[in-house]
This record gives sequence, structure tokens and C-alpha cells, in this order.
Amino acid sequence: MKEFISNIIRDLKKNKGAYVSFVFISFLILIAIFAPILAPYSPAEIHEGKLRLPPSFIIDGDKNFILGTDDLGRDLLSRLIYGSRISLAVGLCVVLISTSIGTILGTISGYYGGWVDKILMRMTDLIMALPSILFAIVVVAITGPGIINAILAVSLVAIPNILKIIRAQVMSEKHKQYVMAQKLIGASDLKIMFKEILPNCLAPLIVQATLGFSDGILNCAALGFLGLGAQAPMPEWGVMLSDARSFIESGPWMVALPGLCIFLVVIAFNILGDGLRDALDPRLKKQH
Amino acid sequence: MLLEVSNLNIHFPTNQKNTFVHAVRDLSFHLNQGEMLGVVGESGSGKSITNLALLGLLPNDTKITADKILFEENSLMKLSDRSWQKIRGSKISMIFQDPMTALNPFLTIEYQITEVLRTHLHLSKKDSFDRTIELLNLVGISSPKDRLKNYPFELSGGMAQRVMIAMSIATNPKLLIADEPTTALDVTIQKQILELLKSLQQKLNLSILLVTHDLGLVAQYSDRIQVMYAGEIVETGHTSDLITSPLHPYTKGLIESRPKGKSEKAKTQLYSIPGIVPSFSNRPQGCQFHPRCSNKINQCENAILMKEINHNHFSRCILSKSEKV
Amino acid sequence: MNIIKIQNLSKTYLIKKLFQSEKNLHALKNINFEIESGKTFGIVGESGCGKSTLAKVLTKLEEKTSGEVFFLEKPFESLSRQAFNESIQMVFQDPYQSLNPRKTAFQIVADPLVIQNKLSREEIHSKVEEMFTKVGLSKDFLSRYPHQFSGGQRQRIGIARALMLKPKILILDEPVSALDVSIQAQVLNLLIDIQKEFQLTYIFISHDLSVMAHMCDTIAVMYLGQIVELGTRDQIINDPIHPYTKMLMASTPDLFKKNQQTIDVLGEIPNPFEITKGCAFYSRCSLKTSQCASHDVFLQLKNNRRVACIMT
Repeated sequence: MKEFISNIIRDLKKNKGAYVSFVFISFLILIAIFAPILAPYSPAEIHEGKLRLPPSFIIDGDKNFILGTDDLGRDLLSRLIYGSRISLAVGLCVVLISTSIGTILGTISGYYGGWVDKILMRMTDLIMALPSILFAIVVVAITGPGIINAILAVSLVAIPNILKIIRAQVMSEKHKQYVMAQKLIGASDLKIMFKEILPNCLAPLIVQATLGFSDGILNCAALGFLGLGAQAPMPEWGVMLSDARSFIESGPWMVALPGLCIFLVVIAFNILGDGLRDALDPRLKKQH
Repeated sequence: MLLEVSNLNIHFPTNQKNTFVHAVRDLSFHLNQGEMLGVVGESGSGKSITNLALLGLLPNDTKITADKILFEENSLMKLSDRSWQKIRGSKISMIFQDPMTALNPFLTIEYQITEVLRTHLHLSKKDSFDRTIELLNLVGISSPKDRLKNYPFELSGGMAQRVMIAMSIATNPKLLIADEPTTALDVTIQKQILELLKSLQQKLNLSILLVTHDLGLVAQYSDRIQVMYAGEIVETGHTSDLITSPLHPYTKGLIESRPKGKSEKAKTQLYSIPGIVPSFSNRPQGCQFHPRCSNKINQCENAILMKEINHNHFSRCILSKSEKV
Repeated sequence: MNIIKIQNLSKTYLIKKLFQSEKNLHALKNINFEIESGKTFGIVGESGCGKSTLAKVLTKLEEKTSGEVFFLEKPFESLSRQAFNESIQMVFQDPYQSLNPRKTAFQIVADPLVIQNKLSREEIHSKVEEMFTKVGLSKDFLSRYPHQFSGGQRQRIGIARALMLKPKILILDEPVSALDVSIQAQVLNLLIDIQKEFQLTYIFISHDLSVMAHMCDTIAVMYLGQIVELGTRDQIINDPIHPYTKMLMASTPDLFKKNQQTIDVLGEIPNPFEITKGCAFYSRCSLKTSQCASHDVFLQLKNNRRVACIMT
């Protein structure tokens, strides 16, 4: 196991993009954890008279508010820092929920085949028929807005990807001789599915989970932007984007900065996921 | 001599910088026109790597050095891509273990064979069609006209291998390298394919390098045998000499450890060579086989050269002695 | 005493290919044989003969279509799952596929006992160590993963695993075909020793007649789902009767003698869907007559053994 992990890290280091992304994400996690210490102000604190200040390095800026303030006089830097907490937490929840459900369903579907498989495949086809954000909007429209509902909706649309990937892996592993051997020594189906086959499907799972982070963050931010996810006054980046829509010309930094944060985090997870995919796939082939 | 290789060394890069693995060392052998040389070795012997080196198919970061690699008196070392294109598939051909993966699954048999003819021989459409039929007949495919429109997945393993052979002799090459050509085939099909190769050797004066792990195959069909172990040639000689009077302990061990079929009592303990083939990173000093050898002496740890023991029968064992007085 | 008796065993697959109607693939057709306790029963044949299907049916990895299988006089459906697993086990062909790459050698060999759940951890530990050394592997290697072992060592692990439940019958499905020649002898020797020590009955499946000749007491030759000849090892090797058996013998490369040129080794295994009646070997046989194509052929007693040919 240890050899496995150190090999992955070594392969990742070779991919500069993935390594930079990994470092960036690590920093982001630290920023999120230490937000109360790092943020100069509370994200909800309104500073009278300091409305719509530009970032301090532009003329008219105030040194006390490094990245400027929004239209209610709240410090942007603090809001962005606390927003990272929300985005990362949202990403984590989406990944945990969609991965666990998708893995269980994918394993059952791949192992048993037959009508169980057919039903699950039709259900995933249903979910995948619409673009994920559209489907999430439909779900939230039914359940009502709010960040919890947004997380659940986005998790739902993330399940099909994981399900299909796991199902494909399980289908190819279940015919292998080590699985036959387990059947012959009396292992139950449950044991075979989850203790024998699943550990051999980890690689695509890890890749998809990492990519799922970026999809999750992006979709929740989109819902927040539409007012269907996180609600004001939460310092969620999507909500901040939506609040700043009217001020694109007068206060472009209010739009640009949250947008830039979303962009950077999503790209970082994507590049890391791609790098992991490269690091894990040839590894699997070399092991044989 | 059609092919002459002298002191070929192949080094592979490893994950660590500037460390190489000495996969094949000081390989020297030759092949005459119209002769079949059987190269026998187990995994790790370097036999397949040598084939790839002969055709310049090893990755760019492999270090290949040799005193000479001469084919028809011309050097095969450091050739340009254009020069290789003129040689591969036209003067030197190769057939592989699994015909199903070597053939393009999306193209018909007709297309794949005529492509070879048009690329290397620049034949017209009609001429390549005629020649294709001729080739399919030569390799023993019945009703060739019906087969032309088949795709590889429609053929059995044996048929596909015959098609591969047809493609490889299309340009009348001088040398055919056959890398485990029958390992994936049934034993009755194996016999037919080897008989075909033998007849082509005689009809076309073709030289064949038959690379396999099966000593029985080379004993049946090749003129000379070369035994490889851990990247070196350990014994080489005429088939009948090598099989009836093997000189090197590894060759003797290979012969002894085969189940003999008719001639022995069933369920007796077979002779087995103790130990396992050394890995690339763990090669012993001197003779590669000595850690597994029951006759080893101190000098075995020094570098040992091939010596001619009997007429045209060479061995890399320091204890090999001529039987002739 | 017969430890296994197979009566009229058949296995048919329904094959549905795109744009074609469903067809029956008769992977096994009316297989009949008995095996004496403690002996090695060999099954030899080329691809498509049904030997792997037979192994899967006998181990219930595939369900039989019709016929009876008796273990020690009892139909094998009547055995409980546990009793069945303790009667018959299998050693698989591919040393690279038959071990779970994510489990240690210890876990792989201990699994049968862990699942059985009768012994304590310490007892399991000591039994695993004992079996590991018995198959010729050092105890220190127990914590290693499959990719750290060579092919021959992996087969030994597979053998150890198969023996843990103390089965009476061991099916060996091409156990040495994927191994280097010098390792084959080691593993075959191990199998010979273990058979004596544990008084096992072997079903030895292979395509290599010389290995069969070395290991087996009885040999059954299979072709396209049927047994075409069944006799003792001496009978089959020294005096084959069926044309296919003779063809197999002529194709097996012998080290010292050039193969007999008198036997024509011709043709290929025909498309199994195209044979509806008559002898399956008809298309490649030099003795064939029109009767062979029109009448189904069965095993008949000739010269103290069974042959499925009307021309001999």
C-alpha cells in the first residue's frame, strides 16, 4: 500500500500542472480551516461609508480593505476566504454522497446484471438526459431553494457518472479467475462484491471523485448564482456573483474576484484529476 | 552469411536517473541464407528484445551498442526512418504471437495484403490482386477468393496466422523473424503452421529466425538451435548435435525437465532445475546460470566466453569438454 | 471406489448474436465417465473441446443443462454449500489472474478458513503457515502481494489455497501451461507429492499430451464437446485408436524423434454451429465414410477402452 501511494505521488510530481494544482488545493484547504484567523473582518460585518471600494492597489482603494468591498460595505477578502469554506464543504458533501451511492449501485448493477442492471441503467439514462445543471434546477424547484437542497440535487446528478464507471470495472473484474476462486471457497456474493472486486476498482473511482469535486463546486455555485442554492447573506461565491451582477461596470472587481476563485478551484481539481488518471492507469498495467 | 550480429548489448533505462538494466549482453550470432535458426529461451532470456533490436523497434531511450549488425553486408545500426521503411516488411519481415492483435480489425484481408504489395513493390491493382491470390494459395488457404473480403475477426487463429505469413512473405524477404508464432494456437494447428514455414523455407530459400520457449518445436523444425538464458547465448549448434549431446548445464536441464511422454513411467518426479531465472536487477557475476548449477566451481564467477567445443557446437560453460578425442 | 461419476452430462449455451436468431452451442454433449479415488483423470483437447466448461460445471460455477454428477455416490446437488466446497476445489490456469492483486498471500490462503468460520485466528494462522511451507514457499513471504511473486510461486499459492478446505477432488485446469518450462517441472513434482500426501483425486486438464502422459492414470480425449476416446494412460499413449487422438499424438513435438509423417494433420476445428448430425470429427478425418456424417457417434467399448468411432 505505502509503495502504491509513494509511486502515485512520484508520478504526480512529474506532471507539473497536477503538482501545482495539488499545492494550490492544499493551500485552499488550509485557508478554509484557518479562515477565522486569516480573514481580517467578519464576512457579515458591514462597514458604514465604505461601500463599493475598489481593491487597495487601485486608486481610490483603501488599505484596510485589500480586495475592496461589496455594495453593502462588506470586506471582499474576508467574504472570499469564508466562501472557500462553503465551496470546499459543498464539494466534499457532493463527492461523498454521490460516490457512496454511485459505488454501491454500480457494484450491484455490474455484478448481478439482469433486470437490476436494466432498471438502474434506465434511471441513470433519465438523469443523464438533461444537462446536469438543468436537472439540478428541476430538483431544487421541487424541493425548494437552500444550500442543503442544492447539495442533494447536485449529488443526484453526479451519481450516474460514478455508477457507470464502477459498473464497467465490476463487469470486467467479475469474470476473472480470482473471483471464481472466491466463489468456489464459499464466499457470499456480498463479500465478493465489496471485499474482492471493489478494491480493484479504486483507480477510476479516485479519478472520478476528484473530478466530481470540481463539478460539484461549479454546479452549486451556479445554483447559488440563480438564487436556488445558497441564499444571501451566505458568502458563497456563486451568491456573491449574483449580488454583483448590477455592478459589472461600476465595480468590476465585485464580479471578477468571486468568478476568479470559482474558476481557479474548478481548474485545479480538474487538472489534479487528470494527473491522477495518468498516474493511476499505467500503474495498474505495470502491476500485472 | 545473411545476418551477422557481433557483441550486441542492450541497456534499458529504469525509473531512476542514469541507471540502466543490462538486458542483453555480448550477443553474437549469425544466420545463413535459407537456414532456420531456432532461438530458445524462457522469460527474461532476452530473445524477444533481440528481435525488436534487429528491426530497430525498441524505444528511443534504449541503449543499443554492437560491434556490428550486418544484414546482407549492410549495417542495421543507426539507420534513418526512411531506410528502415525500405527494410521492414520488405527485406526483413516479422510475424507475432497473436495474429488477432497483429492484424487491423477494421480492414479486410484483401486490403491488408495488397497494401503491403503496393507500398513496397508498387504493383498495379490487377497485379497486386493476382499476387494476393497466389500468396493465399502458397500459405494453404483454400478458396482464397472467398477469403479476400473477410475481416480478421471472421478468421480462426490458424487462418489469421496464415494471413500474417502471407503478408510477411509478400515481398519475397530474405529473412523472416517468427516470434512465438504458434504459442496462442492449438497444437494441431501449430504443426500445420510450422510445416508451412518449413516448406516456405525450402521453396523460397527463406531464412527464418524461429523464436520460442518450446524446445520441442525447434528440435523438430530448425536446422540450428541457439539457447538463451538471462540475456546471453549459452549454447548454439546444429539441432541434432545440441539435442543428443547438449553441452551447457542449462540446456541439459531444459531437456531433462521435459515430461518425456511414452518412454517413462508416469507420476515419477521430473528433474527440475532448482531456483529461478535472475531478475534484471539481480544478475549474478560471471556465468548467469552458475547459482543454479550443480557443477559450479569458483571460476564460474568470472566472465566466460563462448567456446567452440565440437565442430560448430559452441558452449558458454567453462566445464564443457569436447567428446571427440 | 468411484469418487466421481458423470452420467449424460450436457451443457448448452444459448448464443444470441446481433442480427441473428438464437442458436444453441452444445459445449458438452452427453459426457460419461467415472474416476477412482486417488487417481488422476486426464482430460486433453484443443480449444472448443469443452474441457474448461466441464471444469466449470463440476465446480458449479456454471449450471449443467442435463445429466447427473455424483460425488461418492451422492448427487452433487444434494450436498450443502459447505460440504460441496469441502469436496471439490480447483487450481486455475492463469497465475496472474487467479490471485486478487489487492490481497496478501496470507489473506489469499487464509480466506477459505476465514469464510468457513470454524477456527480461531491463531489456528488459522498456523494452518496457513503450514500449508505455505508445504507448497515450497517461505513463511516470510506471507505478507507479500501477488505482483511480488513469480509465476511459479503464484501457482503454488493457488494450490495452497485450493488445499485449505481439505477437498477430496482437485481440478487442475491447465496448471502449468502459463509457466516457463523449467518451472513446470517444479510445479508438476509438487502436485505429484501432494497427491500422495493428501490422497487426492485429480482431474487434470491440459492441451499438452506429454504432460498428460506424465501425470495421468486415465486419459479422456475431447473434441467439440464429446469424449472421443477414453482409456488408461498406457493405452492412449502407446496405442491410440481414434483418428483425432492419433492426430494429437502426431502434432505433439517430440524432442528426439521427428513426428510421424504418416498421419495427416489437417484442417481446423469446424464452426460448432454448423454440425447438426454425425461425427464431429468428420471434416478432418482420413477414415471418413458417408455413414460418419449421417449417424451420431457414441463411445463404444473396443479393446478394453472406449472409442467414439465407427471406422475403428
